[in-house]
Amino acid sequence: MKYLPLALAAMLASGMAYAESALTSRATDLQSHAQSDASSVASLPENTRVEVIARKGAWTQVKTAAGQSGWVRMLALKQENSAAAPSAAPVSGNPLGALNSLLSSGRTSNTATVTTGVRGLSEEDLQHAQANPAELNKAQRFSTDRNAAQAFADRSKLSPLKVDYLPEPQTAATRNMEGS
Amino acid sequence: MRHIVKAIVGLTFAATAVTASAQLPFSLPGLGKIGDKLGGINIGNTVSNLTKASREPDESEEVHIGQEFAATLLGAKPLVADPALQRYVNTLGRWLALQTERPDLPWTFGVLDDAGFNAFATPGGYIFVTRGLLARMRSEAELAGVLAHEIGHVLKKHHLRAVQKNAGMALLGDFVIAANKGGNTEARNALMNVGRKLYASGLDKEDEFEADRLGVVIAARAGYDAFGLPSVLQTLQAQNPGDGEFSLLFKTHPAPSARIDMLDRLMQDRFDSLPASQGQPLTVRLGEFRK
Repeated sequence: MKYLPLALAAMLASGMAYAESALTSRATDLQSHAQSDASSVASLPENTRVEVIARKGAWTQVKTAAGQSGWVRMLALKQENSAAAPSAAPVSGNPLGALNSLLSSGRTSNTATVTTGVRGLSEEDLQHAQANPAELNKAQRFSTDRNAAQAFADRSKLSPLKVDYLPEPQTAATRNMEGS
Repeated sequence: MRHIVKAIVGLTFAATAVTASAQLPFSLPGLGKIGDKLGGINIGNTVSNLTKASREPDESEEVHIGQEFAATLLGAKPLVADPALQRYVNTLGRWLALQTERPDLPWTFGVLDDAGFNAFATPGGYIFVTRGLLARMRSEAELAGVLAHEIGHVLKKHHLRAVQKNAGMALLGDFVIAANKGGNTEARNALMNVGRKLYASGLDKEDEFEADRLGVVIAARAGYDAFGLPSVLQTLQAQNPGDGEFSLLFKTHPAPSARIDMLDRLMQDRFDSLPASQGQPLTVRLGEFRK
């Protein structure tokens, strides 16, 4: 791991690879820090193209064409392309290469304009499906107990948090009024 | 009309021909409609127990119905033949499910061998994602978000409710009996038909929005970045709905932009102070689970 450039190591550690550009999905502020009360660096109109540098919770670090860097709310962005999807997976010399290619077979460009001939599970497949109880038995044999889940969380440094469920949103009419 | 007549004829025939448990129907028009919905199949002795039918299925009955649906989904696409991958998804899924009010269902997670991008839940806690979905996850937090959305469907019994709504309580009661005893072939077939239609046509939009609201919170409770699920929705937003790998998902779910808008309004700063783990890359996890 120490031979990897720092940026790549950080990318692999986070499991993400951002070599993307994105567009603002609405007018939004470019802020100096990843928090809502941070100072504003610039106001970005809708459909501003930005380069995505990193993500942190609700925030995405971006750079504008004008060279300004800062943070915008992640949900104020939409992807322009998403070529990043499989790039986190294949690592050279990785013994898991076979599985990676299995997982990504049939996968193609994620850009909206490309339609591939590859077809996923379809309505027809479901309508003609016959029960496969043997496969269900197999699936049940992989199911995991509480202790194994807890051990996974411990070694992953995941601690349970108290977070309340979100309330139901306002009615559609109210939402339309406050949006624009 | 022809269907109704056929159903009634079939029904009457079945009622006289089958066992003592079969009774004459109480409400022919209603039953005719059910028969029609199920494609005109003979449901004669599936309408035999209207009193039992008027109550909610208990947990073990819910699980049995879920097993029937899960077996059908697995009949459409089998599991990816990789025990380490299946154990990993089960462990992650179970950790998420432990953060909910139904931690002790027989939670079972699986990766279907399908290039498409989709995820399914059945009553009782059987949850599947496709390998095409897994391949497009940019972090474990994204996968956690997807699994947590499906867990949300199970918590709120969305599929069970949809079966009740589409097939009627009477039929559901008989499904329950059939699922428990495995004896009534016709009721069981009827149940599977309803399941096939349900998974091909999808849930109500409101159920999907509710599962999104639950999913981001469940992922956050488990220590993951709550924005994993919204991030997946952004990936979807960039897709062509006509692409064969995505078409079923687009057909059965509200538009990604509507789902993102709702979460954007509700999430705001609420999750900003949480640790928000991205988790580990899939390659690392598979290394762990292969040991």
